[in-house]
Amino acid sequence: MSIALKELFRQPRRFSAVTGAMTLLIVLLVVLGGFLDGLELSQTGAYRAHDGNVLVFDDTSERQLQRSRVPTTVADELSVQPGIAAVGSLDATFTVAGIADEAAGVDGRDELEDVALFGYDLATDVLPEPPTAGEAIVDEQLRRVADVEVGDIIEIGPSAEPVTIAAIVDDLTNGAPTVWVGVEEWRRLVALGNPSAVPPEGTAQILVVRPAATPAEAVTAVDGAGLGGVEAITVDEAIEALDVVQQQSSTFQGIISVTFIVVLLVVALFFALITLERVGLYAVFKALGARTGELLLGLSAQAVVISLVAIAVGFALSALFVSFLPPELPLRVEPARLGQIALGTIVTALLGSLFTARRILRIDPAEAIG
Amino acid sequence: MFIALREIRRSIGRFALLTGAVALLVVLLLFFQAVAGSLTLGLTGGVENNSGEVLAYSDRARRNPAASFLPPGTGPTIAAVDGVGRTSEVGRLALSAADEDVVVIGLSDPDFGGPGRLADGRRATASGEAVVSSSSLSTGFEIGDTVTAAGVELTVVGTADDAAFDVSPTFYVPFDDYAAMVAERAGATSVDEVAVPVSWVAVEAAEGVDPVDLAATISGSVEGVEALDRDRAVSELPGVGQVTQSFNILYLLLFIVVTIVTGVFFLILTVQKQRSLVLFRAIGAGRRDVVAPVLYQVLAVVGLGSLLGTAVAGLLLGAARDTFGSTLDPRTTVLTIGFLLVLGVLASIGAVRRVLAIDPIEATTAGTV
Repeated sequence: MSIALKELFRQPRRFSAVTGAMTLLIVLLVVLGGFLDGLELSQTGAYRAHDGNVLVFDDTSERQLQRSRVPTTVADELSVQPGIAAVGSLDATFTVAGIADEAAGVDGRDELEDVALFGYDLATDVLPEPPTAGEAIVDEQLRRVADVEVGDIIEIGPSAEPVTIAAIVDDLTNGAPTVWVGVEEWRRLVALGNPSAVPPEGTAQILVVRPAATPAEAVTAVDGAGLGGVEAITVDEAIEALDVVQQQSSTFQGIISVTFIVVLLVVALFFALITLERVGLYAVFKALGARTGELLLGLSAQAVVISLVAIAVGFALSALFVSFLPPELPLRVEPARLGQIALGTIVTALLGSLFTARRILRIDPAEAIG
Repeated sequence: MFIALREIRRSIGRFALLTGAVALLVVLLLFFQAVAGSLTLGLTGGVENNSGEVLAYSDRARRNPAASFLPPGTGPTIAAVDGVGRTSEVGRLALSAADEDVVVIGLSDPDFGGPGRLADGRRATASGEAVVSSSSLSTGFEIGDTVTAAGVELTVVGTADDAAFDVSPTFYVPFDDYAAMVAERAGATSVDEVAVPVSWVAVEAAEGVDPVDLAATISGSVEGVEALDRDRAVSELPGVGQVTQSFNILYLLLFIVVTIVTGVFFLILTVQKQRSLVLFRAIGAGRRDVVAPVLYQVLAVVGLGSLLGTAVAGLLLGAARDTFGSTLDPRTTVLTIGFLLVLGVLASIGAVRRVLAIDPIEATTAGTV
């Protein structure tokens, strides 16, 4: 193994070609993974804001928020069940928010942003208590794209209803930057611009249940309440049920897998060429007593070192590349994803380097003396 | 040619690995192109294939049909603008029907404001009728199918290709049916209890009037309205730019990877057979004789890899048609393969330069041969 590593360090140019190809493939993997995470995170912020709670959907809605309609009387009945600490409504719609321009007055004609407007009852770890009428909480993403601060006025919906920003919370992007108001305020704002988007009186899109202990116990409590027509699920289950998340996830996972196969082929190809070049050398090693396992160990060590270099350079290049991309693209590089890519690359390179095992096994030490 | 093919046959494993790698990269490339095409058309089709030459949105909609709600009375005001030939008030509603998220488009003029052309059947003129344009990424609907949407039973009487909104099946219905659905969604017992919103107005320019000029005239003369000609309305649709940019980045990376992998392989291969090439040159082979095999091999590997990749991508997309609704576009596929062949030849420049640099005199140097 030490000879293999010495060769690597003394003749780095010999290995630069495969390292370069692997580096580019790692950039591709990081970008693909970034799109996968970015698309998923940017569609699910409102759900993640309720992590630890339980969501109650209409059981015909296929766990889709926009299809669900739950009578608020269900909330009253659930709130007295053991295992449930509190129940509230959650409603959502997509609209626009105008950013009030001090110079032009409250106009906002040229400073509009698409937003997801949520009405909610219950505070969570991320969301404070609902603001009073005329106030809204916005997320970090809206602060970034619209350059707004606490105290600024934004105008919601087609009717440009002014609300004052009361607080800014973490990035909760859910298809668009999010704006959070109380449920009654939500109904008022939505009814002014698009009455068809307001659920009938006494109905919420979904209910949020705050468990007294664990989410699993709260789910059991909802199921045990004997209320027909509703389904209680955890936040993770709600995210998994989103069509868009399912499709994106399976598509990108497939593409990432194919890219790893390409890495495997590239590494296998390179080491096949290297082995071919070294057949005579390996015969000498074998004649001197080296075992096939030792030779393969040397190749594997080279593959791991090449991978580590490609990972380091690939990650650095990816960071540079991503920094030049337009900020509106749904691309987020997550540390967990980088860890997966690094591990996957090392394992794939190891497998690729072992493609030549059969060739090395067949080398006869007698070849060393012609 | 003879030597190039002979070498491939003798080292079939190495060339097969490279061809496999190229084929997989081609699969990814064609797959991305097909999905991007479907996605873009699913987002833009409803506007791109609309019979309206100008679409008049609320000026607070950010040119987004889903966010546009016009003040009452805007339709007649637009109809009275000079240069307007014909108008239709259009309502848009997203809801769930037949276990899918669908978009309903209500038209005040059943003959105008919907798809420019029907693939089959006729326009929806009576209550309870619908023209449907299925999204490429969803289930198809056929003439005679019935669907209940927000309490209104609809029978499909016509179909249109590539005229969907929001990558969802899109039902074009008479405005009264749309209004009934709005009322049902709002929990009202009759349409009179709700203000039924008009989302935008589809406009046809009078004869001799340029739609671009008409859009500017409407925007300038009707308060609260931003009118766009159809081409601009398509390019301004939200999400289209993001999808295009995202996929362009992936195309770029894939093209670079194909080029580098091919280039690296042939460079290593050339270095390995340098001694043979020196001997070859020393016994009288011209530069062309040693360069041509490299180019033949590049074209063979990239060409075969592309063909294999195209076949696999075609099979994959065919098998996943219900999920992605995409097929290979022959023109795009041919262009992509052509471009890959050019890139393959460019990638072999390093190997070719190495071959051209070979000096036959090296054959007389000790240790070279």
